[in-house]
Amino acid sequence: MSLENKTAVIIGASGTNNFGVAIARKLAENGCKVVVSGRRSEPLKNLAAELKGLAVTCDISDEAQIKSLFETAHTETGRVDIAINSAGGLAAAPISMLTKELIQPTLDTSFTGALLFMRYAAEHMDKGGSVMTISSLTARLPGPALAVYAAARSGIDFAIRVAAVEYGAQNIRFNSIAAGLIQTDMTDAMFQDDATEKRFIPHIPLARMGHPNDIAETALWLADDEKSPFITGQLIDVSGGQHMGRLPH
Amino acid sequence: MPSLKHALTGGVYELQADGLIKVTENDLTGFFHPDGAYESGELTHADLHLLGWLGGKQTDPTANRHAQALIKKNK
Amino acid sequence: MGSEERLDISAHSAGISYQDLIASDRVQAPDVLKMVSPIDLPTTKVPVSQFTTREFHDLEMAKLWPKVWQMACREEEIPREGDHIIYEIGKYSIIVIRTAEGIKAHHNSCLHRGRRLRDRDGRVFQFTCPFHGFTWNIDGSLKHIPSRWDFPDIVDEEFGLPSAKVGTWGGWVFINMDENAEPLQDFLGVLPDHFKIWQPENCYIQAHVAKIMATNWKVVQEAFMEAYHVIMTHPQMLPGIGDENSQYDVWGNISRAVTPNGTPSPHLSYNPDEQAMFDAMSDRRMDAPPIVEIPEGMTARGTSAAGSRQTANDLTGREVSDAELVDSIYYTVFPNFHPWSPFNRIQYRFRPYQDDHRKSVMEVYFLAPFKGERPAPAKTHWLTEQQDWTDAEELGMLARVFNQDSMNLPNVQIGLEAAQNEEVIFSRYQETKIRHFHHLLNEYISRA
Repeated sequence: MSLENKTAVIIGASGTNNFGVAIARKLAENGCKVVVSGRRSEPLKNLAAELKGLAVTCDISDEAQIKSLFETAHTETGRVDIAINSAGGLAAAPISMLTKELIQPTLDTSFTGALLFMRYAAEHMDKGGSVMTISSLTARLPGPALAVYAAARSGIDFAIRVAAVEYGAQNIRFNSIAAGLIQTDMTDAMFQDDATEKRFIPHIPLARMGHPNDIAETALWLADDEKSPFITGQLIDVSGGQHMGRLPH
Repeated sequence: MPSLKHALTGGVYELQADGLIKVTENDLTGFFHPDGAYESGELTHADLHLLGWLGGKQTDPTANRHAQALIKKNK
Repeated sequence: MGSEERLDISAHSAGISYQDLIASDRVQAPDVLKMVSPIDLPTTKVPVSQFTTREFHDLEMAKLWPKVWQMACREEEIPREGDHIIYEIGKYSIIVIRTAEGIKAHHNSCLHRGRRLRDRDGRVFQFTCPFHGFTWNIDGSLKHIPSRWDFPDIVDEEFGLPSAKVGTWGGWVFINMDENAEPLQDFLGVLPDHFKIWQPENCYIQAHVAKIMATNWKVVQEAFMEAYHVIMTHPQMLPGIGDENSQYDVWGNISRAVTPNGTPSPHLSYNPDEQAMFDAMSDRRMDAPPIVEIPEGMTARGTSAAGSRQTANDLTGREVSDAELVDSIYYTVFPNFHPWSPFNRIQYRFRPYQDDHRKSVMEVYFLAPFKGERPAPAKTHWLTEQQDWTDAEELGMLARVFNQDSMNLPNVQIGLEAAQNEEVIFSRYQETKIRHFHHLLNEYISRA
């Protein structure tokens, strides 16, 4: 397997079924040594044990912790080849309700933290590598109450391109995966939410919601220097086509 | 007679004249007090909160904001 | 609150999200309801001893209640100079009085030999101790000591009543016994902004019911801080309430839950139609006719909102949204005050009862908008331990809902005291408000 003996650092993997977890599992299945990271140590330890990887807690809004995350990954495994930033959760506020205090935490995590993640990831990729950030459909199509959330991601999407330029000579590729509407709840619910389906499916050309596996497969492809060696500075929309918008029916 | 159907179990709860509540669930029947206590019958357990809702002290049946709104409107 | 992580809500209810639900409302929700701020905090387990021991109660009396902003009364209850109420919290007793220079709060204890200065609410223009006649002005400064010559060591300027800080918001009066406390506005954070459209200062106390509960104050309080319990405790509501898919948010010292009505519980194995949903919302029994037949094409949500909209619009002078009229929007101000949005009218306060860690006071206010002259505020209606909530007719159907909660509550206290496990566990999302409360409580208790 072409990812064998490579080390991937994934932050945002201390949930139960989020993108970070799905990506970590996918990379591990394909031979990667995974270093899973996030704020909550118990789920990380469980995941690391399951994937025979390493768990390192890290708050992405703390620069020292990001630095330490990559130092540990490098020290413990000897290398860093792949880095994926899936940190940062949803918060929403209409602009009419914004205050500096409301804006700051999102900036700290999803903008400043995301930039510093890029820096420290690249610093340890002495053999080249692949860095990815998980972006969002909300950073492609404007939605109410998402100014802060979406603008942070949109800003990082551009920074990804700058990074692609800055690090190209070192063969470190930077790309963004913009997740569309992805079904993430694990439960086999007896009650299916018809209303949400009715609202969104008409806007999705592929007529279904996505699955975490859709994101994970994209990350796998971007992680693999044999599969995507000439892809950098790219924003990949995994949205079933929804990112395009369309003329009304 | 005053009666309710349990949204989760499908059980039918019927308030009897003597204040006990007859509960029929999965073809079994039992009689219960409004505080949840079992009185008699093959069904020996029922939802104490629904028993209380049906058989406990009542208030003006229309004194909730959804009903109030419509009653005022229809007047 | 800098170190918390935004909650990864990938694990969530399968039911429609609140934001998606209100996006389809005919009359759109205000911006405040479009805020989403889920939070993840370290606290998911709390020692049982916090609910059952004298020791923890004493810690709260030393580290929490003397240091935190807490709601004492409403301005309308003390409108004139000299009007006062006695605010009691555990062993503390504080006179909250209106003076010419604003509202002041003084510890209710004579500096001579300790007798309580005021035994009951009322209106006075000075505080004269009924024991020996020591007298203070209502601003707290010393006025008179009988046989003044017999107290040569007393310096008048230093013999004022110890006072607490006072702050007001939304018509509510808050006190803080810590003179170094941050201003109330800082403590409340986003709350005034959120309530701008609801203007609690322009509401009046339509009802105020109080009852002593046989539980620790936190046990009863926490029963009203989540909708997770609806599935078992209020089963009659399930066809018409989004219990499992409620939204929970945190901002600083404030938390909020929004539980929608006019949408079915995700726990159900069937899809109730609009009529069935409205029937559950309006408490229709099987043997009774519907309050209204929902017309084809109308929704339960829209029907309920349409019914109360005219009155609400008249009172507020604006077009009130479906969400405000139909949904339960319940905030918490740490540690014990729970203002709901005005079309629910509910406001809760929970306090330890005297110095007893196994008893508490639960209070329900109905705060309602009004037009024209301000109606007189309702007096507190105390229910005895033998009475149930239906003895407060002013509560309407809510009394029966409280009776259901009250079937659980003493059993929660008994169960906690009998527990062999050492910790209680809170869910990650639906019990957000409770986790947030304990997170802040631990901060206060841990301070030196």
